[in-house]
Amino acid sequence: MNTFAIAWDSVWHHRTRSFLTALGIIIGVFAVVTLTSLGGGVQKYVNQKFVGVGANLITVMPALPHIHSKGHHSGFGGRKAFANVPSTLTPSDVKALNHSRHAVLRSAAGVITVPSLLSRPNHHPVSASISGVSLQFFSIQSLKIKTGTLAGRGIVLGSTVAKELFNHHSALGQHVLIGKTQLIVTGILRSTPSSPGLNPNDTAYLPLNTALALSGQKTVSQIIISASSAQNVSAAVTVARRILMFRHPSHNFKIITSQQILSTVISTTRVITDFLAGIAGIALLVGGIGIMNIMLVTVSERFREIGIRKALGARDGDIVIQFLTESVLLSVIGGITGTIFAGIATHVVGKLVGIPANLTLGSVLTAVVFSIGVGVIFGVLPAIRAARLMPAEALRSD
Amino acid sequence: MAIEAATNPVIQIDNLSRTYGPDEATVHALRGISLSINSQEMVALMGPSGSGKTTLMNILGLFDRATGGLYRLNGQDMTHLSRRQQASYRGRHIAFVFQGIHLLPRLSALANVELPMSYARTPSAQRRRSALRALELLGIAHLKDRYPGQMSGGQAQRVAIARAIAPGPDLLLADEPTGALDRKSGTLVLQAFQELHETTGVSIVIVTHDPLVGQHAKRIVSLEDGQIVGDDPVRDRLVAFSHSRGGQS
Repeated sequence: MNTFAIAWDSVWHHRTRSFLTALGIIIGVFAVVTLTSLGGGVQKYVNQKFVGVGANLITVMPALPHIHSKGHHSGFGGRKAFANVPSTLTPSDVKALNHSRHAVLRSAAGVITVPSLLSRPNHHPVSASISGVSLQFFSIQSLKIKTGTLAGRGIVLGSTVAKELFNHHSALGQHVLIGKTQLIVTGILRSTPSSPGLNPNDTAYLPLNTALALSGQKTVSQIIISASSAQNVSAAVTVARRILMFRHPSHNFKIITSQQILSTVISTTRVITDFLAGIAGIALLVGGIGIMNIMLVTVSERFREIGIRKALGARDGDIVIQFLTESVLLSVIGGITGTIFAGIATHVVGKLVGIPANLTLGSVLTAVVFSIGVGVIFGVLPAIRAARLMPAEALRSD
Repeated sequence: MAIEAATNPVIQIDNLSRTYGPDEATVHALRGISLSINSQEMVALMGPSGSGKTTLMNILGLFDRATGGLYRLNGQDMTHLSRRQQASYRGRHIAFVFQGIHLLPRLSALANVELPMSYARTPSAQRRRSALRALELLGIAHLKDRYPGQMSGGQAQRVAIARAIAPGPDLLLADEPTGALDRKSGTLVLQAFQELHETTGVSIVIVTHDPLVGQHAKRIVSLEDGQIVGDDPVRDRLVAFSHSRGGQS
C-alpha cells in the first residue's frame, strides 16, 4: 500500500472532518484565484477598450504654466493633474492644429463640457453629460452618427440618451432643452461600447461654438488629436507640442497619449488586484492553520498506528512522509475545489459585469503552488511530532 | 544445543541497566542484567508487574536505550545506534507480536503482513510471496483478503504473527501475545509459535505472566525488581507451570 493510498484512505475515512479542514483552503484559494482572475479580466478589458478607441489618440489638457518649459512632460498622474487649472486652450488652437498639414497629425477636435441639464420641454431632466465638440471629434473617437449630422443649433444624442428622452419614437427633429435654451435634435449616434473616460451612449453632443456660446466660455476643456497611426503617436506629440508652444509660450498645457493612460490604468488595476489578493491570502493562511490543527489531532489519535508502523520498521522519514502526504492531499483537494469554484465565479461575474474574465494559467499555477506550499508548511510540524513519538508504551496499553 | 548456543548467540546483554528520572528520584527499572539468548531458542520472560519486563523488552526491541551495560544483537553493538539505524535494524532483524492485536484496521490481512517488508523496501513480488508463505505457515491463507474487523481475535493474532515472521527476522519479541485472547485461542497461538520456532528456527522471546505461555516455552527467565531471579530450561511441563505460578504474585 503506497503512501498516497494510505493518505487518501485516512482522508476518506474522516470525510466530514477532511471536508471542513479543506474548506479553509477552498475559501482561501477561491478568494485569491477569483480576485487575480477578475483583476486580469479588468486589465484585458481596459486593454481591448483602448485598442478599440485607438491607440493613436492624443489628448491636450490645460496645465499650470511650466517654469522650466523645456523639461519633459509626463503629465498624467502628476501632482498638477489634481489641481483645478483654468483652461487657456482655445478653438483657434484646434484650428491651428488642424491647419498644420503635418502628415503625422490626422485631425484635432476641441471638447468642452457643458455643466447643464438636458430635458424635453415640460419633462424632468435625464442623466446625460453634455459636451460641445468639433465635428472631427466623431471620427477621432470612431463614433458613427446613425442619422443626421452635427450642425448649427442642432444636437446629436447618444443612443441611451435618445431612448431615455423619446423612448422608441424618432428623436430626429424633436426639441430638447439645455438649461433654458432650446435645441433641435439633428442626429443620433450609433450605440457604441463605452471606454475609459468616454461613454458616448450617455452623452449629448453640441457643436463646439454653440456650446461655447451657451456656457459663455472662450476656452475648450481639452483638445483631442488623432495621430496618423499608432506608430506615429510620439512624432505627432512632438509636432503638436511645437505648434502649441508657439501659441502658449508659458507651456500651460500638457499632452497625454492614450498609451500613457492605458499603462497608468493597467498598473493601478494591478496594484489593486495584488492588494486584494494579498488580503485574500490571509484566508489561505487561516486555512493552513486549520490543516495544522487537524493534523495535530490526527497524530495524537493515531498514536497507536504510528507505534505499530515504527515497530514494523518504519523510519522517522517514512512517518513524516506519510503525514505530510496527508496534509498536502488535504490542501491540494482544497486548492483544486477552490480553483473550480473560482473558475465558475469568475466566469459568472465576468458575464454579469461584461469583462472578459477567465481563469488564467498564472492564477491556477499560483493556486496550486500555494496550496501545496500550505500543506507542506503547516504539515511539517505535526508530521515531525508524529515521527518523534516513542510509541513503545502506547503499544502496551489498550 | 549447548554448543550451538555458545557459538551463536542472538541476544547478548551484559550488566544492562536502565534508569529513569533525575539523580534524586532515580527509578531503577533494570539493575545490571546479564543474559544470553541463542538462535532457535524460545524463551519466556516472566515476572510480576513492575519487574522490568517491559523495559527489557523495549531495549531488546530497539525502542529504548539502556543507560548502562552492553547489548549485542547478532554480535553487533546496539547501544550506540542512531534512531535511524535503530529503525532500520529493527525492520530487518526484529519482529513484534503485541498484546493488543495491532493490525492496522484499514488494511487487509495480506497488506498488513506485507507492511514491514514495504518499510524494508523489499521488492513487491518478493513481498507478496513471503507474505503468502507466512499466512500459509500459520494456516490462515484463506483469510488474506479479510480486514481485521472481520476476524476473530485468535485469527487476527495469527495474522499479526504472520506479519512478524514474514520478513524472516532473527528475533521475534512477543509482548503478552495471549493477553487479549481466551484460553483456546491463546493455546492455538502458542502452538503456532512453537511450530514456527521448529520450522523456521527463529528465536522467540515472549514476555508474559500467563502460565500457559510457560508451558510452551523451552526456557523461562524470571525477573523481579529489575533483576533476574531465575533462569531455567524447561524439561518438564509441570516445572514450567509451577514456576510460572510462583512468578505471578
